[in-house]
Amino acid sequence: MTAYVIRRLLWLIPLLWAVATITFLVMNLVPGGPFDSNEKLQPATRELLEERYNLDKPVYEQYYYYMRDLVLVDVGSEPPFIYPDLGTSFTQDREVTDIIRDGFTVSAQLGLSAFVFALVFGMSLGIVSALNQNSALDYFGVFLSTLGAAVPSFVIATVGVLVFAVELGWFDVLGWGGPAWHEMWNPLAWDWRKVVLPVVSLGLLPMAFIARITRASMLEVLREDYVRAARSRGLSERLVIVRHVVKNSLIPILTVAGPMFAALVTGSFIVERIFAINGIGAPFVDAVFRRDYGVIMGTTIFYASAVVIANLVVDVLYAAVDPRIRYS
Amino acid sequence: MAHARAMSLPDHLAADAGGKRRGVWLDALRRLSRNRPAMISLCVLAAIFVLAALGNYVDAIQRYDPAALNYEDGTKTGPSWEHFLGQDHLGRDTWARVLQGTWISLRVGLGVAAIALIVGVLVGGAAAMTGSAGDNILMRVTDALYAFPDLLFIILLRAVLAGRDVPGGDVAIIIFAIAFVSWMTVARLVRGQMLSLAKSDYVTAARALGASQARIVFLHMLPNALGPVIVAITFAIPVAIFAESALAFIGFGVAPPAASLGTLIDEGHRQIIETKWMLIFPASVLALLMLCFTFVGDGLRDALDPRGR
Amino acid sequence: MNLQGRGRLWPLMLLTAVLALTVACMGAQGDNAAPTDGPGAAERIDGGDMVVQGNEPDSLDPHWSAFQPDISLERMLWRGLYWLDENEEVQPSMAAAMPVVSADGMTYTITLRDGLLWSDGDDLTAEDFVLGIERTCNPDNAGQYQFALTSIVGCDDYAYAAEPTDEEKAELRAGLGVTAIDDATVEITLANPQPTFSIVLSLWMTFPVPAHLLPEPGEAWPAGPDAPEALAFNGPYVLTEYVPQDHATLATNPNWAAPNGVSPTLDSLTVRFIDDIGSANNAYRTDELHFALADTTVLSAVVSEFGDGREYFQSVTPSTRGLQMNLGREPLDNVDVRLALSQAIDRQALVDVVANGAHQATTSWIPGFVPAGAAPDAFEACCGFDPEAARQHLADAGYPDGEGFPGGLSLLIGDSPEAQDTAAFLQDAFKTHLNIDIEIEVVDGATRADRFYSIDYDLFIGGWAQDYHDPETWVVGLFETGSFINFTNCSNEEIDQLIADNLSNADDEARLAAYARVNEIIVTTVCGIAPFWHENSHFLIKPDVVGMSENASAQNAIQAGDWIAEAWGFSE
Repeated sequence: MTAYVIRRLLWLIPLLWAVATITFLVMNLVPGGPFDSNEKLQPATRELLEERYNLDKPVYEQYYYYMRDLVLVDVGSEPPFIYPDLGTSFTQDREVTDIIRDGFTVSAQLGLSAFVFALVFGMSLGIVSALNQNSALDYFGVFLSTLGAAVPSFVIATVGVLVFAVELGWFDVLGWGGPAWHEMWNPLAWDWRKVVLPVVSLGLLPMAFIARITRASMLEVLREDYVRAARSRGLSERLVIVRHVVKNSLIPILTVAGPMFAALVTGSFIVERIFAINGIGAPFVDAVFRRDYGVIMGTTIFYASAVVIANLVVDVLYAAVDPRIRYS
Repeated sequence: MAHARAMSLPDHLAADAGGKRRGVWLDALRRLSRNRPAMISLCVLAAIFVLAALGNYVDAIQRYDPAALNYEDGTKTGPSWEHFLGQDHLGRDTWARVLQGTWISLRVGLGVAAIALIVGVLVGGAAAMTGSAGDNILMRVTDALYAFPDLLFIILLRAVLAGRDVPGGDVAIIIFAIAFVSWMTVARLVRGQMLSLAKSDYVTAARALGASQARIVFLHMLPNALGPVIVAITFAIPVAIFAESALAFIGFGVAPPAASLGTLIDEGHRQIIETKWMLIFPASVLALLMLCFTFVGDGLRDALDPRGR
Repeated sequence: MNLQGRGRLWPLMLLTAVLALTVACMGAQGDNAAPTDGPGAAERIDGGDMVVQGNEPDSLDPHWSAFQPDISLERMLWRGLYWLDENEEVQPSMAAAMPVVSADGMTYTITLRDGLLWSDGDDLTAEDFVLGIERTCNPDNAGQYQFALTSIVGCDDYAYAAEPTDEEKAELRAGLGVTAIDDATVEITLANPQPTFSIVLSLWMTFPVPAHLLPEPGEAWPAGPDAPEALAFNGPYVLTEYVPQDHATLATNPNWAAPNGVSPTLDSLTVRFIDDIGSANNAYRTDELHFALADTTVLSAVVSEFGDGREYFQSVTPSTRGLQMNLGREPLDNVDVRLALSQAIDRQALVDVVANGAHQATTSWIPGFVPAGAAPDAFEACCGFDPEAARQHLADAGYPDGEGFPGGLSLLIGDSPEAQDTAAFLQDAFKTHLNIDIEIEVVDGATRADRFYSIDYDLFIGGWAQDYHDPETWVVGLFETGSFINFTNCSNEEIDQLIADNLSNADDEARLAAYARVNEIIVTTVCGIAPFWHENSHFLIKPDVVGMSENASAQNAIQAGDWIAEAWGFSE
């Protein structure tokens, strides 16, 4: 198992190289450059700026410089101690590493909260539906989870804000209310007035998705022979459900949960935009629109690492949940 | 690396799904037709599809040019006999716009789902079929593409392709951009299912009977792996339509005067304080589509499960 | 400020465009006395924490900035030698008096006020102001508004030196026409007289540099969370906290040398960065903001909710938008085609339907309230909405009832809802009135800017906002044949001649008359643009806020002189 994990981690290197290269190429295909927005620059000013950021060089040379800087990591005093040099934002005058670190702290909390929300409510809905297949409760669960997936998040957010913040005054409109990391476990440290609406807006769609997958996979497992066997052995229904059914239904959920977690954590720019939350989604979208190559590259590479690691975790969990799978 | 070892299951007779394939599909159809929510949804979907298709090509149904600004008649109005679903902020007829939007959104959703299904099943199936080495390569490629930030990469692709001459125009560009990041889910799902099915008794039995690897994968395993894939595809449709609406939200949807449901909902949600109609109608159609796709997918899943109920 | 390439996501564009300023200080128009310090206004109280809507700046470096949110924030933190008062008049700020100008108009001698201090207690000297101008002209800084200082001796040479060595740079820097005679005297030498130069000395690119912290002109300006510690300020406020993408918090500068006796009374002023205008309005409704830009998409609902003159205010923005045409493309090289398009646009309907009445329909390029400008209806007869005349022009051009009109003419627009609606409106209008079909091409901001700057378009929705209150910022460089910011291929001998003759013309009356004539030529020949509206800014201000006052001339909400943030406060 350890060898497997190490091998997978080593895979990260060619994988990130591929991601960086593809993004670099795609990015350079987009018309326009970082200094095209806003003001038409004097040709000389523009040349100076392009020289400063190596943009006057041919693409392959830019690529070389970027990759070289990426490999030569900096060592810092704070965790995670090793910082790849992701360059400078062309439009913001800040280190890309700083932009990602600041944004990620917020997005990770938002994404984590939405993920927990989606997992808890989604699985509960799915399990209840599956255990009462084709009953009123099932249809209610299906209806609820479908409805959650039927309305785009910006509509949920807008209507939610108008009803619960403006009309009822229960919540705030702006910002994120997460605490410092070490206080995550303390519910009093959260500013719930700022947390509920973004989390629900972001989490409703994945919640519905998880509910659907849970229900489908539970129904599948319920018909498995080993469940029948367990029942016939006289195990209590509760024990059968918990020990066999739920555990075995986790596999398909895990397949989607890994990337879903990564996607949520790296931020939904729509929710971040509507609630003016300083996550990582908005800087990326902004960067695409402003051709801020440094931020586009840095964010994509960072995100890719997050997804790959999430997938690795999922695969390891696979083995833990499904005794038929062994990695060697 | 992902080498799986069979675990001994309780002995029982392997059901040879291959031999009675046609019967199984007929059974499935029969089961589906008994599933009332699925059948109703199928009818509703068909009705929406036909109405949207006709609405885009038959003037008598469309009634107004969706691009014509009739602001002299009024703007942001509610439903009336003249304008079934009212008029938008520029005085355009919402009925005509919703018909047009539904047609475009259906094309986006179904187009992406079709590409995702085909590419995903081929890649996932091939990975499961080719054994450890092929599996490794294909899954690492999938991993690499999977690692891209979906919505954000869609936006990047959309920016690259915007304004380029592509057959099919904006809609094709949007379908391509969304499909590019969508098929990996299906591929992984297929492959994951295959991995656990590979250990099942009927596959072992088929293998013992000398069936070829391709035959085992595509004839025996694939149909049995379809349940979760169908559920995933059912969701790929709304996800694609949502992804398009996210593009619309940042002003990057289909170019005016055309509009998808996403564009209409985006316009509607900005107007919500003055008129709710512009949001309610397209959002309801979208929700209806989602509900229907879900129930149909559900029905299909139940019906295709060879072990029945 | 060029509006052509506002390139970010649409909500941001909506902001920067329409109005922009973070914090534009605006407010009541006419006799809307409520939030101003007029007679009968509620008593001002000391203290309070104010939160206003803004956009995140790209940079805090006044010598580099060109983006409105940057300049707005910089204006709160630093001030130049002069400032523009509520009447757009140049007044001494850090300078003790108006500059002493030599007889030939080439040498400006400016004396600083006594006892000026930076916020950290260091002396603010002439050297700091010299360094500010040096920074803007410095090639390593590449200031985006360097062109505003092009009259200063040596500034262009310094900025555009081709790969200079360090010695060459030092030499060029020493050759700049700006020197500190002593601690309290700045002397600036111009290469040619510029009647508007004292206005330039009130703009952000001439703000001082804390030389004790940033001694070299090429030094990187601190940004982000580190900025509050690493900078010193001479404006009414100091920066105490900067959280990227979230907010900037300001506090009163204890060493603020108020030129007009107005000092901040707030405990803190927070500029909250918000991109979505709908969210900003909701946050205003829940009292999370004291000031927000009104969402003009639902303007009538907003006005009736907040009450015109009660919490809702509007003011005129010195900017014009219109349909720009590439004269290098057929059939737009034909003046009759251009006039046909111009006269097919029902500007009032466009404003009412697309902009919800938020702007001022116009036919004039230079707004009427700008010197040499013309009233919105001044060119109604020749170029305003008239479907009959439009069809006649089209027939004169050889396309009666649109017959034979080349297909595939495309309108290039950005991704904002307003641009898309405007495009849909124009497409419908040309179809209805002229029976011609145009295509709409939506691209993102950067692509739009790139295509515009490389003059790769047919039709384009664009415009201009003035840099300072003078007609020269409306025409110079934009319309002369071959000028590097002329992106419409407009080429008119009379315009070229008028501008060349009047750039340094000290006779103000003749100069203004010339620019008025240029405006007339632009409009009547549709030389690159058919103007359709002047933008207005729309604001929501809480009733207990005082001091967000209007310019007496009601002229702008986006220029430096208008941002008198030190006057903002609370009443009982």
